Amino acid sequence: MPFLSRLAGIVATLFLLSIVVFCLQLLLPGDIASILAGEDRSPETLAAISERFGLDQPIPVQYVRWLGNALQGDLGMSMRFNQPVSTLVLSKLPVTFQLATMALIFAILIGVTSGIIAAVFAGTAIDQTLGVFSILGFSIPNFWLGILLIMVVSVQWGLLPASGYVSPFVDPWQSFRTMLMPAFVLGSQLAAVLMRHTRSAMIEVLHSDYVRTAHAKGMPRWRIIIKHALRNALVPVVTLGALEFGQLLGGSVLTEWIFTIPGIGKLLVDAVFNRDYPIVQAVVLCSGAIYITLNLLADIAYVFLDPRTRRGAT
Amino acid sequence: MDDTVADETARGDMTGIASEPVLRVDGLSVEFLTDPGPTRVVSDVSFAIGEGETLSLVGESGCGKSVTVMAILGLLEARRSRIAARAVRFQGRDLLAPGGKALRSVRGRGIGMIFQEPMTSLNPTMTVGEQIAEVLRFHLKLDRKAARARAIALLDRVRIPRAAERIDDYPFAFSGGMRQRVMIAMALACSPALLIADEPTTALDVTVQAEIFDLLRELQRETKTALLLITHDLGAVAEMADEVVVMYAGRIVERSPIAELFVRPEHPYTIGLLGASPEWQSDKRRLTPIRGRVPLPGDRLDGCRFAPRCPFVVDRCNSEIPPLAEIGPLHEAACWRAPLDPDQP
Repeated sequence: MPFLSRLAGIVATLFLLSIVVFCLQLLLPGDIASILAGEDRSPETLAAISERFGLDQPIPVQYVRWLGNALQGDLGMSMRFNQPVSTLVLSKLPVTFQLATMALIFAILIGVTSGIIAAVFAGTAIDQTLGVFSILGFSIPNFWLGILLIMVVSVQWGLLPASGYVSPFVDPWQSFRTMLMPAFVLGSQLAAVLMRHTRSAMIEVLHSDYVRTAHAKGMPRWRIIIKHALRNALVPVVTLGALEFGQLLGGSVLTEWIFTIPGIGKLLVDAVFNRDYPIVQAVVLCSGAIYITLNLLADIAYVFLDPRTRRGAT
Repeated sequence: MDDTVADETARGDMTGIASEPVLRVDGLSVEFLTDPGPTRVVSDVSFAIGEGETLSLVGESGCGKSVTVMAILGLLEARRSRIAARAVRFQGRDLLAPGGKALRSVRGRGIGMIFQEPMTSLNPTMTVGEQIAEVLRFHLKLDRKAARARAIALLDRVRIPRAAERIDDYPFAFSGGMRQRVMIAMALACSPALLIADEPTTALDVTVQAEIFDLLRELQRETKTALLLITHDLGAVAEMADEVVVMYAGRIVERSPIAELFVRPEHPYTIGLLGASPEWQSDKRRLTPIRGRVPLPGDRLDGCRFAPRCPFVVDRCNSEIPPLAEIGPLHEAACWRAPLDPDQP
């Protein structure tokens, strides 16, 4: 039963999201038909365009038609590229997905590891040094860090490419090199957040009775930290990581812009500037759907980490 | 402290001597490093437990019983506490040796420990089987299969029904009493020479308490394990202990063989404890509480720490700390007025 109510919640959320997304275009200034018409704004042309895109219908009718199409994977035609929106979004999605995934991996590697170390050495100089780094990671703006890295690593040292994108299926190594800096920039804030959360969760768990039991059993210190403490401490961290992954996908706009990566973020920005509403709608709808899915995945991950949730027990 | 390899070999020759205790604690003191300064919570505690013996540490909450055993096993947070002792030796090995190597090899193998809170002392994300097998695999180097078989046998031995099925369950699926049985199984996994039980039944229902004590007694008879039992359940002490050490405010106030203690308690605090316990009150209708409260570790008292609550108090008690002095065979009390004349309070 909890699963069914959960599913109903997801459907309801998506439904609300679709209404908001649809209404977005109504709120935006400018008459779509006249934008599409370009130079030739004769009433006949405008009427023809309105009829072709269904703009002359009442708004609820437009919504129902739009939703019906969207459910079948048809999110309309891009007004600018004259291509199906779904094709465009699907072609850009893997790029952003790769960027966000690499950023998440970075954030976990750096954030969780330094969080564990800070907790184990809580109160010492090591802990304080890591704390300073986490504040830096949290407060340095993405675009500034990005520009700084491009200037130093790419321009001065010439170590990594400053921009562009290479598919991992074409050249995995080059693809990795190109994505390294953007992923680091995108993941830096999440790394700082994860570090804070891991640290406080670990400190709490390290003082728990069952960790004391493990010590009394004569287990070596690092085994206790990894096997007994970390798994318990990770439960809250996982949810955060999954939710933040949605943020990474959505928050990649700026990073993609700086490193000129042809991902979904750049597609969105270009579409907004060109009032290509079907693309804007599709990107927002996709982001929302992904966010909800990740939320669900986080709950499923809980089940694996914490056996108490498996039978609905406490 | 020149006890390493030479000591180990010496021990080998000494095992035949009956007087060599399994655990010997000599002059143990513990200070907590608090903000206003170090606070002494355990002062000059000495005791020894022989093979297969049961020693009971008795006293009210906050008198330093748990801290004493935590200090012995090195379970206190190193940065917040300071431990000093003339010697803490387990089978001749110095447990306070720097580096903690001796300590780590003893924990879980030579000394098993059961804690007060069965609900929180097991790891919620590991099955009970994993938690028992872990000890066996680490200390006895058993392989996965052998460790699992042994873990099932151990669960069976602590009377957990359908042990072979329950082994893959997580702690949340067990009741408090069952969890304490799992803890006992874990503590006994490597057949330790000493089992420390820190108030093993305090958190449990009365009926379950009796079952756990029965189990402990039975297992001790089978395994000949020495038992250090911390409790304030004097009924359990009477049934299980060979010797009793009474602690008050971080100090030992009386030490006595079990038979003697209930017949001839010599420290006013012990008398108070017996009076406050339903089993040992002569007038069955009324319990006599000890007036006042246990002094806090930071409280300044120049003389006997029990003096403010003591019905037998004399002037000297407020200025001088009474030493633990022999008042009978194997019977010691730290009281200026011992042996007491109960008719003259």
